[in-house]
Amino acid sequence: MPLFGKSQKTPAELVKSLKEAINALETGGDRKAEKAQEDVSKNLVSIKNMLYGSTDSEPPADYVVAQLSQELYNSNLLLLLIQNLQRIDFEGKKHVALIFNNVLRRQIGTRSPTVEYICTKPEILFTLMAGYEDAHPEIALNSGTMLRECARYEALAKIMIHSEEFFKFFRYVEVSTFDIASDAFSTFKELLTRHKLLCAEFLEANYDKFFTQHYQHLLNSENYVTRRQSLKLLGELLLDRHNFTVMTRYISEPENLKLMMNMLKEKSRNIQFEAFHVFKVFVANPNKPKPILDILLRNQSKLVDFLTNFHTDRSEDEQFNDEKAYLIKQIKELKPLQEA
Amino acid sequence: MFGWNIKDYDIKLELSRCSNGVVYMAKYLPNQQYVTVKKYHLDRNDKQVTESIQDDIMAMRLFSHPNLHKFHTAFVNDSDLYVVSPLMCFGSCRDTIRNIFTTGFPEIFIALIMRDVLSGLEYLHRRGYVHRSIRASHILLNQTKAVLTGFRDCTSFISHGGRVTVLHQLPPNSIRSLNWLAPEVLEQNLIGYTEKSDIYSIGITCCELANGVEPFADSPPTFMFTEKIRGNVPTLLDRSTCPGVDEMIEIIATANKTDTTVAAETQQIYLQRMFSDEFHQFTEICMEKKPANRWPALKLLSHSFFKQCRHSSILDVTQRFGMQVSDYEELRDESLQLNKELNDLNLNDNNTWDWEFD
Repeated sequence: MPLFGKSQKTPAELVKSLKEAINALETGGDRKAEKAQEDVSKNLVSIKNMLYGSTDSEPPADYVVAQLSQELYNSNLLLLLIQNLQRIDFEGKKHVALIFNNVLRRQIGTRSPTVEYICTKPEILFTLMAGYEDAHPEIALNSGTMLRECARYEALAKIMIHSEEFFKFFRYVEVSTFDIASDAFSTFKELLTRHKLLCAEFLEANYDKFFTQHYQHLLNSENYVTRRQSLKLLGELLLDRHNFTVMTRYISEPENLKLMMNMLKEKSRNIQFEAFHVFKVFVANPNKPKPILDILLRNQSKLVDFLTNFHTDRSEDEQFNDEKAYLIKQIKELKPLQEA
Repeated sequence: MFGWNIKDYDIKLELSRCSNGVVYMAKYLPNQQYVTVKKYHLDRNDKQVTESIQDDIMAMRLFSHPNLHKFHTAFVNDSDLYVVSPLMCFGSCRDTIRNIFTTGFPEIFIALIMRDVLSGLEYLHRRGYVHRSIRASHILLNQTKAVLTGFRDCTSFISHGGRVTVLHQLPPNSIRSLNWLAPEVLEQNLIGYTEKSDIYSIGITCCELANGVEPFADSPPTFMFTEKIRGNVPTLLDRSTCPGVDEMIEIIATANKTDTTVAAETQQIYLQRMFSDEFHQFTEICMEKKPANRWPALKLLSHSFFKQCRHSSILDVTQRFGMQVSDYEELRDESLQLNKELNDLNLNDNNTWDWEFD
């Protein structure tokens, strides 16, 4: 017990006083808002310290964390904090994320009570996802750190990926501000790659909407970084064995092959290289549908020439050179289907 | 508010150049403000470099402190990334050594720089961040202040909602910063390291600023490592520490990559000057072998070394040492435009191919 200084508030008192301060922030005039801002910051720091301990103090006792979490659920404060994130000051926003992420990972045996709680309050997730909207760039990155922590839990990832809001990511990853677009892309990628079965099911069920209507647009983006990142992610998705059905469908569509062949000869070397890793799947497919085979045959000698001179300076990348040699061999040996 | 259209930035002058890109001084036409524009050639970089650029940028968004560098906006144009930040007109302290103080900064200047850097560092440490890459080239200067930058290796004790008490990983991009790193970071043992490793780097950086040379520049990494493990540290070279012998000339020549005549002159400068006891003591405290014996950033700020800052400021010393800020309006490097046109030409030679689809 410190000799001087205020006695510590209990978790219930802290949550109550933070909730009052947030409400005051939401409604108050200028004078009141200033005071409310101060109270919000102070209470956020106390809660954060209670959860994490500070460097010189012991880690917090389990019962304190349990009590605090319970108060947070009962008071609906997590949602309130996220809804008012743009009103909270710079350091306070970061504290909200720290508190959220800590409470999220709380476990009792094999149960994750906060995850269960958020499942009953999916507005929390949707509000966080809306944090990437153009209107408030100052909360995008804070929302992003919370979203990516949520995406680690399958139950939460499932809610997000199956929501209408998910398709807004195709817009978020392409915004002009590089830092926000990058952050949105890492969240997008996490959602699509973390839980393999969930993602495979989702991609199969929403193939047309996902690939034909939306992903195509990213691959054709005017933004170099969007194009490069989405092409790379496409390669990863198609080569993941969980996504076999999706891959089979993707590589049977001639439009996709044409796109990849065009990307192979884009001026950007990195895009050429990533396109190569998608293109190879079309060629390696032992059961090429006729339209795919026709395109490859029509360009047979051009492709052989092109690939022979493709990234010849990557002499140290053995795997790449093996794959390239294999592709050249495959293309050379291509024969038209025998009409039965 | 700064926009995302590169045409709104009037590129005036190239400030410096590194492996990843080029730094320009520019005027943002809509508000007539001078800024630094850093241009990274993303297509010439591999994935790892692009990620470290991204880490650097994302880290800057986490901090808000007058002595931590920030950026206004970052956007992509063609295959280049442009990062627009406040103009730091003297560039990094490394640049300033190269251009002005070839045998090291004056002590008062170092005190003023370090006071700024430590305030920024204290902000980081208090929030559980460790910079892990403090060195003269990561401290930027203008007429009024010094700021810490180079956050690509900055990390936190807090991740995924939990806190660890020590770190173990070697910073991922540390290969060029090994000479500045603390022994416990290099040792890679189970004890790990804490934010006190930054304090050690502060000590090394003091020597770098004072001597004008990167510490251990004359020795191979293994020697540097064993020296640090033994507790041997670089010193501020002056009358009390610099050996007057000829061997020292050789060492200075190797470290500075100069010939012996220049090195002999440098030695003479070292032998004629005297740093204060406080400065020597301050540097030693920073480079204590045991991390626990190094003072935390906040306590270092109260060290008597900083007494000399009381009646001075960076503005005073830049004027006193004749560091001129030229009239920006006059500046224009005509060769820049030409270079740009040449680059554009180079990029358009690959489109002779056409596939047959129908």
